[in-house]
Amino acid sequence: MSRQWPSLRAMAWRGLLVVALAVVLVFGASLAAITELRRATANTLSEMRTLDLTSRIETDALRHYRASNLLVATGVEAYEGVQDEIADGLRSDLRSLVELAQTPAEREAAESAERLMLVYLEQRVALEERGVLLEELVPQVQPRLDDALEAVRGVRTLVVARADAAQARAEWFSRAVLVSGVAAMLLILAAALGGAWVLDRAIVRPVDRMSRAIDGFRGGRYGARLDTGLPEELARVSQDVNGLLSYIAWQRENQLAFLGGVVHDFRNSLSIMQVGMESLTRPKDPPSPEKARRTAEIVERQVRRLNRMVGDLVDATRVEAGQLQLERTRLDLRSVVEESIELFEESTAAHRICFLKPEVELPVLADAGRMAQVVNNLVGNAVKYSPEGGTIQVSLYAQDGNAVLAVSDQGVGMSPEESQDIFQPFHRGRTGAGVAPGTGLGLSVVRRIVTAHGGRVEVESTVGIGSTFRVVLPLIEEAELPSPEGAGSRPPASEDQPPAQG
Amino acid sequence: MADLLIVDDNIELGDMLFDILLSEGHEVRIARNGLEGVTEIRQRKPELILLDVEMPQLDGPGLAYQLFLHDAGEEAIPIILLSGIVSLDTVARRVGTPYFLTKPYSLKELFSMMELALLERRPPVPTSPPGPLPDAGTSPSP
Repeated sequence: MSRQWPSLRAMAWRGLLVVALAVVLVFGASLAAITELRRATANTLSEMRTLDLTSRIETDALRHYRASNLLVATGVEAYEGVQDEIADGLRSDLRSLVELAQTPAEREAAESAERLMLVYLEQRVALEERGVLLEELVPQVQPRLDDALEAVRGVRTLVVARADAAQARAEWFSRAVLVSGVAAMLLILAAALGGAWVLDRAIVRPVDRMSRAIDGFRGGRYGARLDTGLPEELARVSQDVNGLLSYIAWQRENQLAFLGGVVHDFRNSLSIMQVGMESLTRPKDPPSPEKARRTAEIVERQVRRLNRMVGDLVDATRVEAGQLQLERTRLDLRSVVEESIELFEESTAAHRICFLKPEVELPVLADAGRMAQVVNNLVGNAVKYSPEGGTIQVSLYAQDGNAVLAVSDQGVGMSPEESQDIFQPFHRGRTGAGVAPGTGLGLSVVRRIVTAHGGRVEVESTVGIGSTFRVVLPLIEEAELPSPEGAGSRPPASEDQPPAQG
Repeated sequence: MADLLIVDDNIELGDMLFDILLSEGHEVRIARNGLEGVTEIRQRKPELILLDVEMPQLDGPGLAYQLFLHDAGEEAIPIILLSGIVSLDTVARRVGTPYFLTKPYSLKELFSMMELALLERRPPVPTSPPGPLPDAGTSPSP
């Protein structure tokens, strides 16, 4: 799958953003609706008061009209106060109507109603004072009254229209709240579904695939690797695991190659032994005693070689298993190197070994047998990989409180990539595999021994020119002082006598 | 008795084989690696090559390939691969020879395989006296 995923963190933030958006939407819509509702409630109160006022004004106007007419018609004194009282109430009600007006149009309508009503009242009072008869008075004042009432009705119409508008707005808001609620729900649902989908595609399935790939690897598909087209966090894990898998596959290949190499070398020796023995016992062509002796020597050499390889294998296995036990005593590296070189000089006439023996003692705290193994291995390798007649340079010197042993050959050399791997157990150099026999375990054992002594091994090599191996071991501190006794001096008994071992 | 070429970098094994095959009455030459082998073959073509696989300079399959390149596979010299490597059968298939022996082998095995390989070089001998070839054109056709 080549889909490019953003990181899990980014996706989580996106989901959170969607949910937050939904919440803000619902909250905002509700707040707006509540505000509108409160305003509408307040308006409803003023509308009711206005309506109440208009109906009272209408009633009072009619009552005043009737009472005045009655007074004019009958002239009964008792009616006089009633008519003025109604007129006063009417005036104050009209004033209230103007004050209650909410919009400029309402205010204008209310003011015109007040004005028309006052015009009617004044005209009426003026006519009554002149003592006009009812028959003449009515036709003159009634149109004025009708105008005033019409204006009052106009105010009522406006207020009712406003109430209608408020009602419509309230409807709109309630619908808006509903719609935004549904939208928010859909958003949250989408976020949840998207989250579930992402969880499935970006996490659950990839993790499934990962564990399947790892199972496959365990089952023998060593080319199996995890996808890296995943969210960043998982991709990182994938890459790490892939690195590990590659390392395991590489190690396995090395071990197989190593096994093949060991088998090849064993078979070579066995083959020489087989052919040699058969050549001795052939009835057809019995060998001369001289030739038989030579063949026996060859076979014996192969037996020794096989035995050495088996020893190497056992050694490497034990060292790799961490069962390296050191019996450390005070050693002069010069004598270790000297002994080793003597051994090689006896057996290899074809190579010249050149040792620059230093003047001063180089004391280290080390296991004598293991140190000899290290030196033998390095010198042996140098002999093995050098052409006949080549010179092997062995030098020994002190540097920064360490003893340094350097072994240089004029052999086939190695590329930088190869020199990185040679200290790995079960690794055989490609250049050398066909050239020299051996298990290829020697250098890994050398490194283990040297590191167990607190030192390190380095290699410097050029293809076609040769290699230099350097062993660096810490010197014993007291060696800084001149030691008159030289190589024969013995260390204090306390530090070099480990308990006897079985 | 045949003209043989041993190509093996193992001096001891090569020398022993050389002595034994010589005493069997063969004409034997020995080369220490693939390059020497190619030189020997250029000088005179052997009837059979006993070839090791892993060798410095030029390995066994490399020698076989050089051989093929130089005469374009026209004159096939039988090759017996002799090696201790793990997947010798695969290498033999790649080299294109049916003859291979995994080390260690017995001389008896080696001799019988040599006999088998040398059969390739012998011209066929007809069992009945040679007569006119049956004419392919006279057979009735449907």
